[in-house]
Amino acid sequence: MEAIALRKLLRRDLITAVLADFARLLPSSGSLCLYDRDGRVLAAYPAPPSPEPVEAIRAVLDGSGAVPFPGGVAEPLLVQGRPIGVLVGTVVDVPPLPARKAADPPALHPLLRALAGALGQMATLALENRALALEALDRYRELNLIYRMQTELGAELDPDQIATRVLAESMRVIKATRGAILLLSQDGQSLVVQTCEGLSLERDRYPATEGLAGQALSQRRSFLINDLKRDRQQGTLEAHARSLLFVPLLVGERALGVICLFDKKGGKIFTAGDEKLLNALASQAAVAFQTARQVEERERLLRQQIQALRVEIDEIKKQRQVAAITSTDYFAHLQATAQRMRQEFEEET
Amino acid sequence: MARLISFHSFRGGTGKSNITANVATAVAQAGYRVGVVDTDIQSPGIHTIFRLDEGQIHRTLNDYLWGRCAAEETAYDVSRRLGLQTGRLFLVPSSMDMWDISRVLHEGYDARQLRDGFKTLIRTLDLDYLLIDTHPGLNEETLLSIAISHILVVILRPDAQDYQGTSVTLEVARKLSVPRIYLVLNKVLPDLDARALQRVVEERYRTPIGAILPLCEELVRLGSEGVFLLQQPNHPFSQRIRELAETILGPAESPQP
Repeated sequence: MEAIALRKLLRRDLITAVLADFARLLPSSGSLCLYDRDGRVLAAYPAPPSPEPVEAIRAVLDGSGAVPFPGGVAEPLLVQGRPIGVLVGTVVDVPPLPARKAADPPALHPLLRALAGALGQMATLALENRALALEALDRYRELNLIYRMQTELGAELDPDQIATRVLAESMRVIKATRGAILLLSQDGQSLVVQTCEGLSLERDRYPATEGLAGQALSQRRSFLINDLKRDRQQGTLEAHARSLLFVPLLVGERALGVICLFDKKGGKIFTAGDEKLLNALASQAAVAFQTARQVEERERLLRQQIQALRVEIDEIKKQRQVAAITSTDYFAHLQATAQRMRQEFEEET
Repeated sequence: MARLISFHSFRGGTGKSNITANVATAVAQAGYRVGVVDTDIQSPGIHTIFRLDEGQIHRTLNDYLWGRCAAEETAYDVSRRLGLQTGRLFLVPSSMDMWDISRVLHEGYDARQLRDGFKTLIRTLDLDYLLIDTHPGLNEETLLSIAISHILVVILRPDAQDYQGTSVTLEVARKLSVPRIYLVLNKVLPDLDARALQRVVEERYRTPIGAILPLCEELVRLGSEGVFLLQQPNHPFSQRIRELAETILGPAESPQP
């Protein structure tokens, strides 16, 4: 669990109100104070203890459980089993005792424990709500990304541009340090690096069956490996990576290529969520690549047809021009006499 | 036995006159008696390449065609001017006079007269080769020159504008049963693959390539004021010209003593 500041989970006025309610149960000289993980006062009623039990607070944050001190007790505020704050209660009319067991005031400690439990539950709920909100935000962002990619890629017909954009977005959202997009060559024999980031592989070509990229392509399934040392089926691409996420570019049953991401930032691992998201992006990209290829092929055919038509038109024009020249009486005469005239030249000279 | 060789291009600006002058010089250097006739009466210019000033030209092809003089009177021996050690080179220029050009444009001339003039030139000057610098396009006079030629050299640039016209010329020449036809690709960029270009062009036109001549700055700088072959004999352009001349002459032929 990521360290979350208590002040971000519980509102200060709410804590103060709760502390005030519980403080009424204490003797008139008692006080309640909540410290955060850094030992700073988050809320107190009626005021923080003086002097502050610094040692006891530190001991509680180090995991020692409840720690009594002269005139009071420091109780951990636990969220998911970890202390994220310290609740300190003091009563001046309780005589201090040197030993911990004896120092625990019979009325104060159960009260503090109950209060810490209540605040802990509130913080836990707040944390869960926050996690849900963050997850919802992540889903929203992912959906937004997929929608945006669909819109952007739908208008793009340049395979290089599609590859560059898809890889950049994939790496950004999944936080990969390096990546590449490989497309299957026209003859189906090779995987060609269309674009890459953090790697020097531009236009490199690999056998279509090589390594995990080849497997992702042939088996039409993604590969998520967070400890490559244990995997023996390494190819050239994954040779220097610690972890990887390979996802095929599929349109129906047809695999067009593979998106390859390597090593998440901060040494983190690729998750099932990353795999799911990359699959969604890969679907968008695959359709865009296929459309681009179809348009390219159509353009090529059209160019061929235009060229053929141009040749045909040129031939017709030529025939017309030749006919215009050769259909004259003058030309017919020349044609009939050309050979004789050449012979005359030879004979006379 | 004299040979007539026509140099033709369907469009202007292909470098036809320059190539004609250089090939004529190369053939003369090989020891032959060579005549060059500028039949591009509408836009004459080959005389400048042979450094023949207008002031030195008294009779032109126009005068002969209009019956003002005999054909041989229009021929100028430019051999000494060019510094030729062997062979002889004669030029029959066309008139640069605006009125003469205008008259040709309006009235034309008798093409048969031209043919007779060629015969006279060959006989009186004892020519081995008569090279005809034709007018671009395919008018009656040019068709006649092509029809009576033993060899036709068609010049084109690697330019779409030249392609179709060239194929028309070749088709017409085939119908006239010209015995030998060569294509010359001129102004080819030096970085083009000459062999690949030759293969493509020969396949397209079903005609052998006589030469592929490079586009060269030195030739442009010369500005048609001299025969490049004589100015820079070791230049690749000059070497290609000599090879073209050898192709035209054929391997078996040698000058008569």
